[in-house]
Amino acid sequence: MSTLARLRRLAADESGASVTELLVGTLVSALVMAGITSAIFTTNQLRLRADDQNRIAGALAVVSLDLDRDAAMATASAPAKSQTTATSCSTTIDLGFLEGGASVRFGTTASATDGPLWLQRVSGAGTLTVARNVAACTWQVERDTGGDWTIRLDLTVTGPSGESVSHSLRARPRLW
Amino acid sequence: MIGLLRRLHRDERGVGLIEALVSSALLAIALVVLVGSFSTLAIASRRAELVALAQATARAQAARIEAAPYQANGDYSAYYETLPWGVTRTVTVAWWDGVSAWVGTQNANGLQKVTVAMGSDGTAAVTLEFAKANR
Repeated sequence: MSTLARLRRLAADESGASVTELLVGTLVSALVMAGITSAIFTTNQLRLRADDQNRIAGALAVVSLDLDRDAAMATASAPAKSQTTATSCSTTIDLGFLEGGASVRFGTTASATDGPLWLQRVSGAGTLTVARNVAACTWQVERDTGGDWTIRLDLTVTGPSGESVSHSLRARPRLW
Repeated sequence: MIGLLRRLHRDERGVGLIEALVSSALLAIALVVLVGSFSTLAIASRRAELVALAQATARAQAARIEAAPYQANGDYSAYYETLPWGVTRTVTVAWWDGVSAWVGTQNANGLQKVTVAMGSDGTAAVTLEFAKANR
C-alpha cells in the first residue's frame, strides 16, 4: 500500500492510528526534534560560545587576582613605573621585586595553540601562564591629578568561536 | 499504563484522539526540557562571564579610588572606571566618627570606609571594602 493510500485510509478511518504507527510517529518526531535542536545550536555555536565565555571568565579572574597581588608588591624603583605611555605587553611589566633570584614580570608571548598570545607571569621561580587566547594587550602606568600611580592593563581575550571581551584591569603598587 | 498498552495491542483499531494528544503533549514537554537545558547552559556561561567582569572591574575601581586623592565629601565619581555592558556599580562612603563607629554623615576626622559593590543582571557579584585616610 502506498503512503498516500495509507494516509487516505487513516483519514477515512475513524478508529485512528495503531499503536505501532503512533510509536513510529513519536520516534520520527523525536528524531526530527533532536535534528532541529542540534541544527539550531550548531548554527549559533552556542556550545562553543559557552566554552569561550567560561574560558574568558577564568582568564579575567586569574589575571585580575594575580596582577592585584603582585602589583601591590612592586618596588619603588620598579622599571614598570617609567612606562607612562601605552605599550604592548610584549614589553614586560617589570615589578622590580625578586622571586627566585629574578624580578617578577608580566608579558605576552606568541603561541600557535590557544593564541595568538599568552599572558605570562615570569620570575626566577618559573613561568606561569595566566591567560590564553589573548588577542590584544597593552599597559601603562597612570595617575589622576593629585593621586598615586596605578598600573593599567587593557586586555582583549578572544575565544576560538569568536566570543570576545575587552577589559581594563588596574592595580595599585603600594610603594608608588 | 500496562493495561492500556495491553488493550492497545489487542485492539486493531489503534488509539484514539486523546491518546494521540497525550503523546504529543509528552513530546512537547520533552522538547521544552531539552531546549531549556541548553538555554540554561548558555545563560550560566554568560552569567559566569559577567560575574568575572564585575569582579575584575571592582578590583580596578578599588585600586583607582585608593590611588585617588582623599575627597572629604566622599564623592569619588570623578574616578569611576568605565563599566562593561551589563555590570552595575555602587560606591558608598562612611566616615569614622572618631570614637567607635562608621557614620553616613561627613566629618573632619579624615578617615573613610569606601565600599565598592558591583553587580550584574540585578544581583550583587562582588563587594570590596577598604579604608581611605586623609594624609
